[in-house]
Amino acid sequence: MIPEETVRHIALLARLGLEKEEVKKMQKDLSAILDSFQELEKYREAGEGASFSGAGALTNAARADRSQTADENTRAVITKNFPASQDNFLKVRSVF
Amino acid sequence: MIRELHTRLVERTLSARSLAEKYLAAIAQKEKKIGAYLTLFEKEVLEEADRVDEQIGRGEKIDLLAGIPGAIKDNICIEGQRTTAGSKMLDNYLAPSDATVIKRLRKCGGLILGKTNMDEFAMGSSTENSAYQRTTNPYDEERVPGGSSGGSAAAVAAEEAVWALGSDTGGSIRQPASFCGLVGLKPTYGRVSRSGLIAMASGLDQIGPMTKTVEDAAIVFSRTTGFDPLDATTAQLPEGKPFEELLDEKREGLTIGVPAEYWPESLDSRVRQNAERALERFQALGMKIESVSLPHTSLALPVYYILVPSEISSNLARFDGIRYGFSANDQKKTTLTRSASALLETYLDSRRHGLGAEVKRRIMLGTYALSAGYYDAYYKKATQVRARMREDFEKVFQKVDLLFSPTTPTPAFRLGEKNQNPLEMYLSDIFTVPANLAGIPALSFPIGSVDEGGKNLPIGGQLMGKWFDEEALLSAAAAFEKNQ
Repeated sequence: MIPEETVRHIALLARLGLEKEEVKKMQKDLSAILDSFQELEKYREAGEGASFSGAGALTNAARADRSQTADENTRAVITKNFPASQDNFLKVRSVF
Repeated sequence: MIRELHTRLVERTLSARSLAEKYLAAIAQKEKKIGAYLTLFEKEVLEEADRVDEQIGRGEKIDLLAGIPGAIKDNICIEGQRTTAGSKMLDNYLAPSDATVIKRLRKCGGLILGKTNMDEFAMGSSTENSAYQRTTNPYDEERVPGGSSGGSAAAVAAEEAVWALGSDTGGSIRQPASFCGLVGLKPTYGRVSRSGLIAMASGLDQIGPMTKTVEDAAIVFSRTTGFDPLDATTAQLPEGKPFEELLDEKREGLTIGVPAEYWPESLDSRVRQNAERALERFQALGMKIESVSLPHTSLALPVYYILVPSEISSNLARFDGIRYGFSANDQKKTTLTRSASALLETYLDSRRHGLGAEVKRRIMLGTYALSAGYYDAYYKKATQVRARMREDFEKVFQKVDLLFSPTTPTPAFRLGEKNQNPLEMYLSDIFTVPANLAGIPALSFPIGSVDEGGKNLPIGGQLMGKWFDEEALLSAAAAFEKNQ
């Protein structure tokens, strides 16, 4: 069973505010899921060699570093989505 | 179906407007029971239909898909429209631009009726994880339509749309297609642009069609493919004929491999019967059947449930209550009595209230798998095993052209049956996740049905093919469909 302390630590890393009962349930669920991965841990041979992360033959596929300005309509939608704003600026809480 | 409708539109025995009205009426009548749609575009779709009718009136040539009404899974962005990804986190979110697939389909004149329900952030296999509403299976309203593209599947199966788009990361197009008697295609990774798709696992996600027939799937699919500078993972391939023109190619020489690991002892006997009968039909059509093995298959679920939550933990970090979506700082809301006093609390509170249980679970799993001390044992190991799984497919595809198996171990299960235990829900993806891990294309198509409780529940068969060989998948399934 994953220790409760670890669950709370991971929740903080993930910026998830969990209630006390949620922490307990998460502890149970995560432990059960991680236990089901035991077959993976046993598989030593498959863990050697190259890895694959999905992108296949691509390397350094980046677009040109050019700034772009959004058009009026796009800007309107984006600013409409701001939860809090002031003079068309996005308003956020201070860090401290 | 699309081709016939197109002919009637062009011959003017049917107008695009009346077609759109017919589907809107079906939606109005059936939605209380089916619950497939989250947002409807009643005004816009009729305006778009009128434009198509005007083009026809002027004698202009129109695309096969023009005037044909479809539905879009709600994790695909449409400019200026509400896009929720099935989550309360994005209840009020308006997409700033069209997804590339939407731009492409609109250019062809395809009509969009609305956005469909889904498991929250595409996490689930039954659509029961939607933060909004329940979607039921049109074949049995006490059963799930599958997930996460359950709304899209139900809409097409209930004739509330001619075609739909879904997304597939571990089976989310194929499994609901199987449960709802449809054709569902997960393209090769890199075949269709993911720009404008709300990302779940960027190394596995793909957008694909869900339709009643193979030809319809090919028609919609052809209009979504191609390199996109906005998605660096899209492949640059030479342009060929559209897929719907490649369906009648002679398929007699094709070899179909039957991977032993996808036909376990525990397989539902009725599913097995239908799948075996499908193999006989392929044989009768002149295709060769061969037994093969994909030895690392038993590791697919652990690999998937480490890699995908890892990507999820990164992709969902943006939902933090700052720039958009549900926020503890929302100045328009009065329901949150406690306002976040510092930036950290903005994150914690916005995500606590905006995200559902399964989403939180996967974010936690991924954060854990990527954290210091666990990265090597979990994430790194999983990427290495994933490479071994890909090699399994490479080896097998040197001997056979296609692989065939049931799409899911059972027909559609009951609402509430599997959502108490996350592990049980994960098991319904056992045959579908390997294709996403390897990046190969996979198609589910109807192969029969089972009778349960007086209802006829569809069964789907799955074809998997070589990278970028959707042509083989579609033409084999088309041959099967034609010779029922």
